[in-house]
Amino acid sequence: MNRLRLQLEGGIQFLLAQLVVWVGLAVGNVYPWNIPVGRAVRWTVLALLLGFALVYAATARGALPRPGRAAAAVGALVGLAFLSAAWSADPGLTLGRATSFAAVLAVGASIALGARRGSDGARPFLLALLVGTGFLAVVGVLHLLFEYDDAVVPATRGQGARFTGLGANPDTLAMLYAIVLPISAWSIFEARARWEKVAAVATFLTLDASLAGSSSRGAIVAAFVGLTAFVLLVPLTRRTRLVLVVASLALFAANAFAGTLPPRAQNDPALNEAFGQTPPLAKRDATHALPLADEIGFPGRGGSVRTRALLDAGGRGPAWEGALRQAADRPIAGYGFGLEERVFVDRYYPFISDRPENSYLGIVLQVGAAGLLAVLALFGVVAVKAARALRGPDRVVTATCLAVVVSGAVLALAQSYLTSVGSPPTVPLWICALLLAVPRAAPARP
Amino acid sequence: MTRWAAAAAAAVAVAVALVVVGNWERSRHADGEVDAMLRVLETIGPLDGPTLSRFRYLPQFQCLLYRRGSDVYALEVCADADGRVVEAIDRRRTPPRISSLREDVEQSNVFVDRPEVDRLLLRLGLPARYVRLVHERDDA
Repeated sequence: MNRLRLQLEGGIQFLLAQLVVWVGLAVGNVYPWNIPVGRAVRWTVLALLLGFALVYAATARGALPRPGRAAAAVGALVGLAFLSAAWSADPGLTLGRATSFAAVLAVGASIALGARRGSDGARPFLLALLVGTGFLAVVGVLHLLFEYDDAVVPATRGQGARFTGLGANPDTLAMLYAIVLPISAWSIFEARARWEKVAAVATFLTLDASLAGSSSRGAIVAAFVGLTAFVLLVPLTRRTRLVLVVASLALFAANAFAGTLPPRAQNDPALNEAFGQTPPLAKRDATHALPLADEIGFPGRGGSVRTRALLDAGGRGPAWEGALRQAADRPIAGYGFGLEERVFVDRYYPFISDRPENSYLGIVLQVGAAGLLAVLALFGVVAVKAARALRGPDRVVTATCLAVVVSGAVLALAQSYLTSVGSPPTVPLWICALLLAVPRAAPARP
Repeated sequence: MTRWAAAAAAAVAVAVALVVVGNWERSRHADGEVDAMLRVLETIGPLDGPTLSRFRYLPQFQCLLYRRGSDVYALEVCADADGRVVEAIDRRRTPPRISSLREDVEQSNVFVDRPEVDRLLLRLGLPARYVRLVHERDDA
């Protein structure tokens, strides 16, 4: 392996970790690192990473694999994203978001192609994803120590306090922690030196504690599915596998239970008087009595408070029905890629989001049944390739990537993120999916 | 014709079909929403009628609400700064019938008299500075 490729690999590792960090900061609560700084820096980092990754792929020795089903599936999805500008209400926004999405897929594909002749296969890049995520989690804990009010969403009459760390809300970074937990488990599995083991276990515990504190149920379920998939797929003795499956189940129960511990408040917290209130503009202002954002299911001012139960979906049911009805109006081609939050209108109490919080519904809204078909085809190709690779020599890395993809696919049932590059779990998910889609020939670790 | 050429031709055909279908769906959806908005406007009658009961003020559009029976929120029509109707709601049924082109306002060809809407908003008690703000934002 020549020096240039080693340098490129190191550069990609650094930039990939940076991308995870900056995407996380950009949707965080720490000013000025979120909107003015993070939102600009993340695109610069993505552009640099794309440049490095393309050169890394181009300088890989040996013939590139023939474009097959994976290339066709990726091409179909990206092509549809760009094509939808032709019927989008905002072609500029559609093209911009299609470009950033295509860039992430290009980074993933280039890294996967380059890693075929890399120093250690896909491992350096999985480690980079873990380091970036671990950094956000550790700084989130420090944020809790020094800026408690920013790092915790206070208790209301409906739910207890929730840990948000650096994220804009408790779900923002919990999604990232959930799908990176299988990579964290892999790092424990592969750690050799004592300091490596200590660092790997500490990272795993920090990620999981942040996830549990967030009480983000979709993310907790996704983490459980991802960790269980990892344990089932890596080579282990039968007894060890059984013990680890039980441990995964116990961890899931503990994470879910942790969210029920913080007590609810007697009264809702006082919001900032300057901008936290919506006072009526006049006596006959309808918004105060019947806000459009709560049109469906609103109990009225002073009505019964909806409490957040353990198995509560946060009002997603009616929101999903509404999103489906909207999707049915333009069922085949959708409203245009990248317009999910512009098309979906939250009219549902107690649901609070500008997206339907289901990636599959979000994709149908954006690019219709054609888009959903393209995404499912890509996931299908990835699953088939992964199943084949699991019989190969690099089973542990394949199992890790597949666990991330499985976890991400489950998370997508409860969160809208799959096609939003600005969402923290999106980059790790697609990098892992593309590492699976491109057949590898990585040497075994010494 | 080679396999690659056939695949490329198929991809182009699918792309063209999608563009046609996408634009057809867009205009069909817009037509449906426009029809429903017109029905609500027809039911309301003159905007300054005696059933005018409430208003709603949002940065992107403002709404007038009309009473039917005891329900003061029964009918609602929302227009942007140009008077273009972007949303109309009929709450006389459950669930309410909501027709909206919020995501694609240019597709709405239904207009109301915006100066009249402003006058009615003021009559319902909306402070004048908010009406000015709508038009200043639009000019900007």
